[in-house]
This record gives sequence, C-alpha cells and structure tokens, in this order.
Amino acid sequence: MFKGIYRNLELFTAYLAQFLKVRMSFKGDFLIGTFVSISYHGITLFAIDTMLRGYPTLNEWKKEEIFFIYALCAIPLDIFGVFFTNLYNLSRTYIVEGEFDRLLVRPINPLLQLFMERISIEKISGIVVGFVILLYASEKLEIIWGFGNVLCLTGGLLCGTIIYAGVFTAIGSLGFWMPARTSMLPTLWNLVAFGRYPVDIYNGFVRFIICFVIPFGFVSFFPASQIMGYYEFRNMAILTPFVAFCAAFVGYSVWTMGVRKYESAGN
Amino acid sequence: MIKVEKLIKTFHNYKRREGIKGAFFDLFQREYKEVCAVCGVSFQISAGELVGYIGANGAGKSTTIKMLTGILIPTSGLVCVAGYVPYKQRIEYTKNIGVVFGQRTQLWWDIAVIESFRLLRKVYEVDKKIFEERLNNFNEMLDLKDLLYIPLRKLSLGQRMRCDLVASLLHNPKVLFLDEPTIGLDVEGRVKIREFLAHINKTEETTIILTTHNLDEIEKLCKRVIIIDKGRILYDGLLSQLKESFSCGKRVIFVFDEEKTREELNNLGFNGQVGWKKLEPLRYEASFDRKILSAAEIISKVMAELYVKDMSIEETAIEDVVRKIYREGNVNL
Repeated sequence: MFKGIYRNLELFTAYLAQFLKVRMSFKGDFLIGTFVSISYHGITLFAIDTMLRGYPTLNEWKKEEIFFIYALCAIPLDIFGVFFTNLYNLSRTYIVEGEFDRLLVRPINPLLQLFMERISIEKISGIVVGFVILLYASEKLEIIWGFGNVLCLTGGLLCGTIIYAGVFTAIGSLGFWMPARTSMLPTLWNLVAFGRYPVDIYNGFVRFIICFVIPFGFVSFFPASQIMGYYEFRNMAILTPFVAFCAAFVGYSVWTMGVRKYESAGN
Repeated sequence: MIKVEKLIKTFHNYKRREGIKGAFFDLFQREYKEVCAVCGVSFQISAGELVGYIGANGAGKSTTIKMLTGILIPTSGLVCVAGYVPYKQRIEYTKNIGVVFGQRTQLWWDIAVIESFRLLRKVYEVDKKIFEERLNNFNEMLDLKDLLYIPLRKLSLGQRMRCDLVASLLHNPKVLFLDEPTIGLDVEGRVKIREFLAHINKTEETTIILTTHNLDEIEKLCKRVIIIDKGRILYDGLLSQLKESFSCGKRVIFVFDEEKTREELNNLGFNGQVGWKKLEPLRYEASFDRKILSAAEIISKVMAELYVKDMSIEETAIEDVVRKIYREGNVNL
C-alpha cells in the first residue's frame, strides 16, 4: 500500500518534471494564463458587485462575505484545474480517438496517468489570484487567522478540490457510455456557480441538489461559514470530509465501470 | 507463452439512419446490431516464436491484439499471456509486454525522445545501468543517435517508428505486440525494422506477434502465420507449408525470338508434364509441378532446343496464396 503510494508519487514528480521542461519552452502560456485568470475573476467579482450594489446585503449576507465564499469556491477550482484538467479531453481525445489504449498498456493506474499527462501549470496564477481575493475579504471581515481557522481553511480547500475531482471524474467518465466529440463537462461546468453563494439563498430544491447530489455547497459555503463564525451551520460543515470521501468514491467507481465499457477505436 | 481459447468479442453498434431526419430519429430510438469482431478464435504461441497475424481490414486482427494486450475485455473465452489474464491483472501484466501501434505513438509529442525514454524507464522501473546499456545497443542497431535529442513531433514517420520500437523494448518485455508497425514506411525503413525485429527475436528470445497486411514482410520474418478473416481463423501453421500446398507449381517465363506454336513447345519432350501458356507475343509461361521436375531441367532442355532471349523463374507469392484463401474461405491441406 505505502510502497504503491510512494511509487505513484515518484512517477508523478517525474511526469511533472517533464511538463515543466515543456512549459519552459512556452513562456507565453504562463503570462496569458495569468492574464486570463485575473480578468476572469475580476469580471466575475465586478458582476457580483454590480448585482449587489442596489442592495446592501443578499439575504443578510454582506458583500465581503460573498467575496470570501467566492474565493473559497475559486481556489479549489483552480487547484483542480492544475491537476485534473485532462478530464476535459477524456471524451474526445482519449475515448473517441482511442488514445486511451496507450494508458491501458502501461503499468500505472490509468486515471492517474490521465491526470499526469496534462498538468496545467499556467493555472497556478489563478490560485494566487484566488488567495488575493481571500485575503482582501478576510481583511474587511476582520477574520483572525488562529489555528482553528487555518485548519478549517486548509481542510476546506483540500476537501473542495477532492469534491470537484470526484464529481467531474464521474461526469467525464460518462463519455465511456456515450462517446461524443463534445463532452458534457463544459456545460455542467456551470454548476460550479452554485457554490459561489450562501446555500440559504436558494430554494429547497436547489439547496438539496447542491448539498447532496452535486455537493458544491461543501466546497465553499460550509467551510467558509465556520471561518466567518456562523456556527449554526456547524452540523453541515462537519460533514465536509465525509462528503469529499463520498465524491471521490463515486467518481472512482463510475470511472472504473467506464473503463470496463471502453471499446477502443477501430483501426 | 500465449494461450487463447474460443475467444469472442462482440460490439454493440447501432444502425445509423440516413440523412438529417434519420439522425434525429436516432437520438430517440436506436436499432442495435450485434457485430462479431472476433468469433471463437483459439491458438497457442510458445516462447520465442515470431508469428505473423494476417488479415484484411476489419478481419479482427486489431481486436484480437487489443484483447491480448488487455485493452479490451473479451465477451467470452479465455486469454492467458505470460501467466496473466491481461484485462484482470493489467498493471502487473503490462510490465511484461511491449506494444507498438503503427498509427499511434507511445511517446510524448513535445519532449525530446530521450526524455520520453527516461520517463519510461521510471514507469517500468528499469535499472539505470541496464537501461543505458540497452539504449546504446538499440542506438547502434537502429541508428538513432541524433534523433534522441529532437522533439518527437519533428521526426518523420519512419524515425518515429524506430523510436517507438525502442520505447517498447526498453524494459525487455517477454512478449512484443506489433500492430502494423511498418504502415506508411518506405522500403529502407521497413528493411531496418525487419532486421531489428529478427535480431531481437533471436538474441533476446522475445516472443513477437506482428499484424500487417503487408505480406512481403511476413514472408521475410515469420515462420508461422495465422490468417484471420471475418473473425475466424482460416489458417494457422507454417508459412512454407501454406505456400507449398497452395502452389506446388513453379513457373518459368521464357522470351523467345519468334512466335512458337503450341505443338512446337509440346514436342520438347516433357511428356505433357509442363503446361505452356502464351502471356504476350514472344512471352511464354511454363508451369510445372516441382515435385516431378526441377526448373533447371526445364531450362536446360528448352535452351538446348530453342533460342531463348530472356527468362525468369517465378514462385507463387504469398499474396496470391492469401488472396486465394480469402476467396475460397477455407484452407484444405
């Protein structure tokens, strides 16, 4: 077990080193990546700001609190983006065009290989931008970063990344059943937006969905609520690691079933 | 080394209806059709063999190879390679095999070939010293040298294929699967790869299975061939035997200085054991059973009697044999 983890970590570093070498030769990518993520987050925050301008609060949530939740939604998404971005290509490049064959004839877990074959280092800049938003909001909200809050934040970011990875692995794996050039992933990507706002602004149905079906509420809102001191959500927040575990489990199970369905491409 | 028994793979394909209207209906209701790509194939291959797996497009070659390499899960039947069931023990199993797909590279596009090799060394956990040694060896045989430091995307098809071959052999696999390795290569490239494969098979005793529809290649490499068509095995045995039983006859082509009548030719004294056929004006074909006569006997007799401008001896090519098998659908030996 530990030997396996060690070996996979070793391979991961080897792949990462290769990637860095390639990326060095495409310096432009990093600059463009930074520019894109700054403008993306900038525009989204500006839109939220504009929307809230007429109202001092959204269901009694302050603007800064919304920004804080936004940051907690955005950072795991960019961490996810760095390591798991190849899920986007799964349907078209790997399943329809048969590139998946290659992953199956190598002695490494195919899912790990899929992730390792494309690491989007340029998205690291997005993580940095996310932290800037987080710090700005926490400054305004006068959050004190004691041990408990730091633990909550790291735990939240980690679980958030795992939830994204689990959910999108499951959705991406549907490509094994429905091989199509256009993946469903980009469309469902928009579901991420539900995690940007406090869960209590939604009606019961949506609330149920983002808590228990596609659990993006646990990515940002529940961990954030604890850091911001809304302890009435504690019972839900405490479930976050469990939800992350479930998401990972479901994601990996759907993936495993999908791999068994894989039919390769004819020559 | 390889054992396959009653292997079956069926695919569910749906019939596409024609036109936009048809495509629209397909969204809601599909007619599924079961297509049998491999239907009940059995064979055994021992360690160190070099076997040619021949079939036309869509005959089921690639599907078989994909089941042998663990990419596809058989619908039913038994596969066992080097003591593993490929699709069940995939990670352990793949350490023992090398795979080359002619149309698909195993290497990374953007990095220098040598970097790909180094990464594969870690993937397959090859000892560094052994790795260097093997690489040097291959380097000499396939003349790679400078290619190693160029990104893959800048290499020609032939160069890439040589690199892919090396990549598949770095971990000294017990079995090497080659799916149309020489597709689209020029003659020189083919010869190089052919010689390399023969050498590897001999020195390292690697079991090699090669699919191709370039029969010329098979003829020069493999002693044993398996011919598959429509998912079934038509022939499994020695190549020489196949050729013999399908073409006991050899042919000698003569070019004379003037037209000959059939009688003239029949009076050469072969007692009807040689059949003559006029191919073109002045060109005549003499076909005979080589169990009874030798080409030398015929040539010397003809040349003693008639003035021969030119001549050639032709053996039935394997392509003719295979074409014949396809046409007849079975092999009776």
